[in-house]
Amino acid sequence: MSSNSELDNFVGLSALLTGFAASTLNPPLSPQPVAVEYLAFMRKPEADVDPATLERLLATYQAIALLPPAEQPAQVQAQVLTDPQIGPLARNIIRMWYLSIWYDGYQSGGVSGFSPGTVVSSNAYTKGLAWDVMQAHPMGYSEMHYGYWADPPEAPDDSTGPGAVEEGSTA
Amino acid sequence: MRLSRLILSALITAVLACSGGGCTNNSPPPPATNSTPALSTTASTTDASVAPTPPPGTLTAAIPHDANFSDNPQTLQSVQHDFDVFSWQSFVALNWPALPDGSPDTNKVLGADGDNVTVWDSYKEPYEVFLPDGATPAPWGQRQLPEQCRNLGASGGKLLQMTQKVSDDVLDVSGQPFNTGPLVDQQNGRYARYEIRINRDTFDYIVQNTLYNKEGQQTFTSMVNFPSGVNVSPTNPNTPVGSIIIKAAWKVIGPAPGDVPGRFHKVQAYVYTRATDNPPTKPSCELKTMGLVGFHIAHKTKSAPQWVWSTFEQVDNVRVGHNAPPGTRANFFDPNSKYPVNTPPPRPWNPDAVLLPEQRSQITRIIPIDDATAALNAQWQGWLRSVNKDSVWQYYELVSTQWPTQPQNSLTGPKAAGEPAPPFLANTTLETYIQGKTPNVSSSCIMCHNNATTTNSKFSDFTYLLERAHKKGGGK
Repeated sequence: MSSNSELDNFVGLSALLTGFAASTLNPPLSPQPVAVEYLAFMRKPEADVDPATLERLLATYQAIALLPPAEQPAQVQAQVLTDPQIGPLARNIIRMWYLSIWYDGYQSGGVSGFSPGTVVSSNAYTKGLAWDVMQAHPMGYSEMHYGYWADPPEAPDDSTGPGAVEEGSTA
Repeated sequence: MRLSRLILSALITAVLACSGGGCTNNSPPPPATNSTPALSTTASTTDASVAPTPPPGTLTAAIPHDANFSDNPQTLQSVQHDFDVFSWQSFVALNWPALPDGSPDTNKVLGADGDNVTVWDSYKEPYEVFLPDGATPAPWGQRQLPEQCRNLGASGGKLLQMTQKVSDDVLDVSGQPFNTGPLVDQQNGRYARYEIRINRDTFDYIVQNTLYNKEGQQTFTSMVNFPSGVNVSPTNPNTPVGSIIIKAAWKVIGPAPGDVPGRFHKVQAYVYTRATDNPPTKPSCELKTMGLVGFHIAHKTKSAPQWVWSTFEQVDNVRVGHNAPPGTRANFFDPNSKYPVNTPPPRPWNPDAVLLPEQRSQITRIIPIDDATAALNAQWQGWLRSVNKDSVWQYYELVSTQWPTQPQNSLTGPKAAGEPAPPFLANTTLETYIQGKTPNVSSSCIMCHNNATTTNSKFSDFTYLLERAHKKGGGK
């Protein structure tokens, strides 16, 4: 079980890694928060994540989070993605967010879409960010209305990129 | 129960703002009922001797237009609670004693007479709206019975013809996903019956936009968008209640052992069975005493463009509920039966048949009612009992309320369902055989109704009713 601060650090780091707003990655009222599932999955033996490496990754982010927001992406590039230990882990986290899959053998690099991996959960399967970017849906699960394929996709919303809008709560 | 002095003070203020002992239809729900009860019991442990008086203004005939949200910052649990309170307020108001014209009798209190004719009894049924010849429906307040029922006299209060949640009429055009099997009660061995009702806002929208026939739907080029309920405010006192669609499940109430009529809302109903080929049966109509066992309320509100989905059950459906006299039997479960659980009866399915005891439904609830909702149920059941110890309404429980946690999501985008909470919700009498937690398979009100379309395959705003439209002059 992760503490709130761990989860907050994981979501904050993920926002910088994926380009999606933290409130999109972990909506405050979500009944099935996939961020919680992802962090818990990385703690499982089958994920083969060295706990110390994960701790160092989150601690590195925690320090970066104290910097002005405009400086944070460059610092993630410099301090995280170029690091030989936490860099590959961060890249696999990006893959997990976009594709809902935790790929094996990420430590040595060279992971591709054909590498073996694990779909984190049935809930995660429906929530890969790749589908949001494409305005599409995973095979076998769709919330889009019948006949949507006859219409052009909606313009991408403002949930990605440096100007990502923090979505408010619902009710 | 724990109510702070502050909340009580707010309550009194709210009550003083209402006249005649109850708020008007345009008044927002009293805020004090949003208080979280401190009870941690389940509904089945409600003590018969404890019947706390409800805070004044709690039991009212005013249908809430939308939920009132109490906590800031909101949490999943607090908003769920607010929607559950909205559900109970809706249940009370919709079942309020009705005057002959269908409006609530504000001189009465729900349950004071034990049982009563309800407000929603006057709502329109789909067969009255989507006529076989595609004609304009009769005005609000008129009804038409099938020929087989007309010679049974005028004593029937309603017509029950569906043996599954979606009528035969619709199954012809929408395939088999809901044809999962009938439900048979333990006491009488008879099929449960179903009905759907729509309120005036829904009816008016359909009529005004000619959505009651295929030609009208074809020429309707906008996206179907039923009216939303909006809470009143000082600057906007005349807001719509919004579209409401009700589905109800009924079982035969007989002299059979274990059937306790005083625990059900009852009606005298025409039980109509259409002619079928397998098994070969002729159309028939019986006048029967029926007891309410399941009750869905779908309500479109400003805070929930994906609608709010409340579902109630009679407390004895899958186990004997609270305060039951000795000998009471569960409606759809017999602990001594060896029939497999959550399994439809053997085919062929004949709605007129009386099934043998060993073939009757053995139904269990797959997802339990959560503790917070159970505590709220105990609170409201106690309040209903305080009106009258013989009130039938104390024997109903809220299973849960499903609502969109991301209601702002585009209805034409990839996340149109708005991430419903809870993700899965089933009533054991209405989604009996599709309970569970499998995405896109198990019962989820919003996820399922998100797929509803008109007869020309356009999104129909979370209702399948528009699929029932016929061509002008007749035919599909």
